[in-house]
Amino acid sequence: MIRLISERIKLLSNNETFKLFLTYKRGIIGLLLLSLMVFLALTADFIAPKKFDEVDPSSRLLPPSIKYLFGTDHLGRDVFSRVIYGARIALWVGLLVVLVEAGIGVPLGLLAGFYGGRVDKFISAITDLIWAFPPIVLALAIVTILGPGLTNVVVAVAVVSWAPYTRVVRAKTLSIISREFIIAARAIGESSFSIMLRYILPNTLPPIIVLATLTIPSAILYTTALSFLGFGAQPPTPDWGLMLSEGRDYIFKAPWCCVFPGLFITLTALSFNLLGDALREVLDPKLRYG
Amino acid sequence: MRVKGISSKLIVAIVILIVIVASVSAYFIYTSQRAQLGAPQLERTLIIAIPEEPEGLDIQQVTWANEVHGLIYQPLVILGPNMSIVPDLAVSWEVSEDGTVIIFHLSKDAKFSNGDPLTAEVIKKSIERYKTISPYAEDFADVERIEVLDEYTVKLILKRPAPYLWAVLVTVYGAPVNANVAEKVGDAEFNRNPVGSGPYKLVEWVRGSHVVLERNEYYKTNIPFVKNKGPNPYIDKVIIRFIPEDLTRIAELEAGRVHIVRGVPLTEVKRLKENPNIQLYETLSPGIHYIMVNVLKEPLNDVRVRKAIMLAINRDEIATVLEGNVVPWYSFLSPTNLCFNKTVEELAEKLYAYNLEKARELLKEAGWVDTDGDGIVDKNGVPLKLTLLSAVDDPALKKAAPLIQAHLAKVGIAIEIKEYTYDYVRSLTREWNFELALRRFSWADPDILIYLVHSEYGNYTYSNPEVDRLLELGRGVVDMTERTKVYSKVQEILLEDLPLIPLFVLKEYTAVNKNVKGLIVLPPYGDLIIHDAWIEKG
Amino acid sequence: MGLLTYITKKLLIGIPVIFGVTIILFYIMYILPGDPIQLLLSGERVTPERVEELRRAWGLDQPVYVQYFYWLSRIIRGDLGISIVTKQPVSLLILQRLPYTLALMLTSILLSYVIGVLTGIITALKRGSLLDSILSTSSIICYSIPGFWFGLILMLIFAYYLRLFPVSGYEGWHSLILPALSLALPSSAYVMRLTRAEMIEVLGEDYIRTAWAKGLSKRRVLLVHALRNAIIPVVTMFFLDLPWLMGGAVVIETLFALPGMGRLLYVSILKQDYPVVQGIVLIITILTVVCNTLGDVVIAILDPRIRFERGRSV
Repeated sequence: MIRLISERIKLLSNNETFKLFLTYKRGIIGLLLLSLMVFLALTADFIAPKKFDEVDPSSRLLPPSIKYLFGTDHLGRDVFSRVIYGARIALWVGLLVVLVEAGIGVPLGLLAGFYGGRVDKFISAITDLIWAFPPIVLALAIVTILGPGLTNVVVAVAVVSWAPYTRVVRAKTLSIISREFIIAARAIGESSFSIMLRYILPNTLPPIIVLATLTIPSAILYTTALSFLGFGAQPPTPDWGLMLSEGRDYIFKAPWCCVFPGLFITLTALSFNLLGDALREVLDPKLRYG
Repeated sequence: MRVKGISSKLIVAIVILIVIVASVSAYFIYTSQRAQLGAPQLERTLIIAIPEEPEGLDIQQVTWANEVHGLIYQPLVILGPNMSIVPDLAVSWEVSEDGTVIIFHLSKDAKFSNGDPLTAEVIKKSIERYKTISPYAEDFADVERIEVLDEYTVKLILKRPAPYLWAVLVTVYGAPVNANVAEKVGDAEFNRNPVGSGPYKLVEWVRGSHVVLERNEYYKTNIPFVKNKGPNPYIDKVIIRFIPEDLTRIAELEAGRVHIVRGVPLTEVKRLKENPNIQLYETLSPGIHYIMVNVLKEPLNDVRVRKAIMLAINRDEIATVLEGNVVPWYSFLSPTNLCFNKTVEELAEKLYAYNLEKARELLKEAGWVDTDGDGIVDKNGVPLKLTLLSAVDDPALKKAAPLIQAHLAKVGIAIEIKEYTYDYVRSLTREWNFELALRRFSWADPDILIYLVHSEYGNYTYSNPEVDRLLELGRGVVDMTERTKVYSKVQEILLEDLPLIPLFVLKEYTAVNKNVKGLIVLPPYGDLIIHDAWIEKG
Repeated sequence: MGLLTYITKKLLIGIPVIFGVTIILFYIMYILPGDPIQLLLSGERVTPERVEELRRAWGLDQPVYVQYFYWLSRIIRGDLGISIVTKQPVSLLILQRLPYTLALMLTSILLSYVIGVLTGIITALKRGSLLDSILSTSSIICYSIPGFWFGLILMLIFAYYLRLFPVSGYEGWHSLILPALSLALPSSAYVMRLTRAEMIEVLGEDYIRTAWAKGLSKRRVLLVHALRNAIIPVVTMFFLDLPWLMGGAVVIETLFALPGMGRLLYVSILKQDYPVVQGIVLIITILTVVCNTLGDVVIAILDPRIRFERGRSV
């Protein structure tokens, strides 16, 4: 398994693919932007001039200046520091959502594609059912059950949006199930489980990677939207959506409280979208999701 | 292969469909919009903007009342400007020596807004209806019997003296409804189309938008401090618009499309004060905003921890963040409460003025010290972490929460904030499923405390037999000075036990366009008295 | 497989999905935390006996499956129940809000299609030019921007600084412009990308080349031949887009305080007004299923090749 993945990655870094990737300037810009965000997230403790929850009512709602690059919010917290710490949360949340989505969607897709028949029908029915709900609306309903909180929002968003993974993996599985190497593996008596894991899964990786890159931005947009509505991150978490929600009362008095967090959401989503587009061209030109 | 013939027809069909649906809905909205703004008679029509649409209009079925109910109904008596009870619908009243009999005398020509006579018989029926239908039926539980002495005299016979009953009688909750009409049309219809005896009557209720009220030509009042005791000749119509967005409500006022705005957002007060065209009326809330403590839960069952929390909160800083729109508060009854006692508040402030040193000492005494140097105090290896429930839909509480968190962090108490709606926070505290919760109340009678700290009435976590006894006693004390003494005693005990941690008293604002003259905003609830009001042109 | 059979099959598949949706929805609302009766009584002056009485009156003391079948039989008859908070029929509440939501969505669809199709055609024609790369890049930026943030920025600039539109609330058609723009932003980017891709494909096809060769005017070739064919998938996307817009409308209507269905949903969630939440989510979901089915059917009518593909796999 690990060997196969590493082979895949080797293939990724294979000279020709990499060259192709280089030709996609946008992909490079996306990669650079993403690296910046990752850098900010990793080094927040060192770069941020203040702690994200340090309140100082005597210097509240100050406009951007040298001391406070992005100004201060209604509690006198440094918006710049909060935005930087926010990168950590946004990336972590995006990653987590995608992991949960893939964790649900990929096995179901494999099973549906591999066994076909009733299993396929059953799984497809569930996928159709989930597909029938508009994501934000169902996520809202789920968060209402689970209660507010970032973890709950991650779960809610993941639960409503794993269906594309199942569909993509199922389609890919169907397309290779009758290939020779699978038939050969069956012939030498490999178990179904090991065939799925060792032969099919690695082949479904490229579309999964592309899909993941393209679903991270929508995961970030959904979770920040839920935080914005007040169902997500709890104060004083420097979640960008929550910052927008808190800054909204002061949008005319202190627009900087809203402008910067939103800008960073955009930049992060943009970095993944640019990267994902490039990856799609490289890895799986026919994929039409996202 | 692309199929050309079908596709173009289909596209045309879809486009036509879109256009039809769009124009139909546009027309729908356009017409409903026209109805909403009405003809341009600004000088005869008063327009009030409030944040929330009432859930219903039958005062005996709703759980909260607002300006619409205030204009449709007329209480028997009301609280005058100096917190004394004055007549409104009733001409006069008598209370027996022991406080168990109340007799109201009505005017001979009192009528409901539909012209039905408002007699003693109807008042009896109305109160009886309240006792069966209202979520607050308990209010009249001590009223044993109602007797009709004659057409204009009604007698309430109580099981025991119940001065707290007056707190209900002076609000619209205690106002008579035309119970005969309710009986005829059914409760659901009456909730949509009520009949009261207030200065205005309902003409139209456009859901999600506004209500239109028209002058009640039968109106008659006995309020001593208004000049005009009949229908207001200058204001024919009152439109009450429901505008949930704070900034829109203010924008409408500044644009001159609304005369009066209730629920002025705290962040706009300063700017409105500087606006020469707008008058701000300030009333102090008759309740307090506070932290409710689950006194049964470790480690909050230790009073020293509660005291430490009380001492560690910097209320002045909260007032700064709330832009001066709250008064830092240390005791349990606000200045606009009937039994407010200044010395209790002074005592409380002396005991619990912001003092980090003292707070740390108390924690240490209780065994909470930071042994591992992580900034959080601990005891037997358990760090002191507490959850604070906050309300997304209460701006003052919501903004105070992260500050309180920062304050308590200074003495080594780690707070995790959980935001829910206020209603949900209340239901969690009712189930005892919380540690600390931000709460508020708004009621001018001290009897409200019985629903918060009495072991049975309120059924929250706190229970103290002495407090129970005093609260039960306080309900029945007729003499106000004596009654205040009882509640002062209650407050002193609460200050020792701290099941509630007071934070501040909210200043509530009503913003009014200066061309509205003669308006009275009556404390403590900020009721609008528009009897003598008129609106100047332009 | 005949077209009619295919359509019937698609429609029949919709029914169990909607049935599943009702079960999930009912269950979600059933396990929601918080006692609706407790939430209903917002004052302090309430006794436990009164709470019990109201619970019985609302039928909340029945077992869950009984409550479900009551509910199901009622919604089949078009009765979505009574709001716990306002005590009005849920269907009435929704009908009152629906026009605003429809107007918002139609304005936003109009905007996104006008912007998206136009820029899509331009970029397809000027493929590889500077304009193309600028517009294509901005389309990616467009769907990276959170709609609610874009809305706030529009509000700041056009309502506050320039005072061209109302800040929020509904005062007339001009109140819809800013919210519709915020909602249209991402979908216009998708429409543009799709139009561009389809145009490029169509422009490369034989009959267009023939048309060019025959010397037909440029405008005629573009409008009559190329655009007409390229727009088919774009139009079908309309159906798939609608439910997503509904989700977006919840956030945008809340932000701009429009009295639409989305805001009603948000407020009802806050107030834990179960019947209203149930009713709105049910209607939005049924609409989604209907739109998906319609989308499938329209595609099948327009392009028989897809029917087989979609019928079998993805």
